[in-house]
Amino acid sequence: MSEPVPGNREPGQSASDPQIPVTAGALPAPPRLLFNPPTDIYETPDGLVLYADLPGVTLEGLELQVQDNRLTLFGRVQRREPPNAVVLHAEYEVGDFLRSFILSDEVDHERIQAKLSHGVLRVELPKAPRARPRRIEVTRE
Amino acid sequence: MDADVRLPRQRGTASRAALYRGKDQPRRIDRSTCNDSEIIAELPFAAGCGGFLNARSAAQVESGSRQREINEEESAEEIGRTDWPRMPERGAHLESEWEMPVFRWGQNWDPFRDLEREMDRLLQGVHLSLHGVRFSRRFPQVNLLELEDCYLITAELPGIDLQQLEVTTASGFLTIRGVREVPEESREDSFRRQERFQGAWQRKIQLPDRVDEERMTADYSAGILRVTLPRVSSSLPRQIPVSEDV
Repeated sequence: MSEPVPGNREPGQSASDPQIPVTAGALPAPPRLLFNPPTDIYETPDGLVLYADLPGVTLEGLELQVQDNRLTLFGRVQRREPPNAVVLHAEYEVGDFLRSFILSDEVDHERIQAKLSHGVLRVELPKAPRARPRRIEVTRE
Repeated sequence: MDADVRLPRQRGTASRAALYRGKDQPRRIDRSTCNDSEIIAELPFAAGCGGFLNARSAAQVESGSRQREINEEESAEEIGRTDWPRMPERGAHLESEWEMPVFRWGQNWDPFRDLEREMDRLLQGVHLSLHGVRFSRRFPQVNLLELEDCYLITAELPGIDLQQLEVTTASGFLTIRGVREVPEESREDSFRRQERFQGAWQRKIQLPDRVDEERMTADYSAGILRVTLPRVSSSLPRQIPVSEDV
């Protein structure tokens, strides 16, 4: 499993953002931070359910994709604070969210559903029908 | 009363600098104006207090007058790369700065709070990789910003039902509390990974003096709670006539 190490909001890497224009002569835009969102995964009879905390991410900023058994979620956070705001006390930093998971074969990729509400992403990963336990009737000879 | 976050009672550079924790400022190491000892301060362990002092004193001994060319603000940012509060004035002499105590936030002097803050800052300076280490964090995480006409408290509160969110103010404290519930369909033993905060939470934040509690507003969107605390507009100076007793 090449999953990222779970961790609570430790800045992983900084990604330079090509969309931020850098004006000549001025300071380069500060690098955007990337965080590993805290995630819950639990099992239900129908499959797996994944919850990820993505505070500040709206539907427009969320990208969720599955490719080659890898589920990747990327949430872009729009800063709403004016840039001239003075930080008096900071417990969290604002940054984007990125995390990816390896899906096992038993997940039905076609039926994955996701919902975002109040900054929490819920992804349903249903089990493929063939992965359901199948009862084999044993007949008496 | 014990509050999680204390706001500066008095507006001033010193107290603001003491509370300043923002890391979002662009950090820039200009190698042309830095000598080696300053660059050392980039290393994680040197970023703490000891590193700061060493780098600073070495820089002074070695470069003498050159050090002065770097203005106070910049050198504070470069060396105390993590959170060293910025110097209050640009023209302050380095020599006189050394005679100042390490804890120089004298305005709201509270040794234990300053010690706590200092320890906090030291720990932040040590960039140990704590990936995977589960340690208790405050929930929610709160930021406090100062805007032109108001203070802004933002809290990361993803997935809160507004019915269960309570924002109250009383006697100079802002309290936010609520519950984050576990989805009903999940069972304790069905979790493969559990990293999100669950359960009841509460934070209590001391309000600054000059806040108009009547006009406070709060909004919640995309999992972030924003509480706006408008400042009381400062009253005009009033002339007091002095009568002369003949």
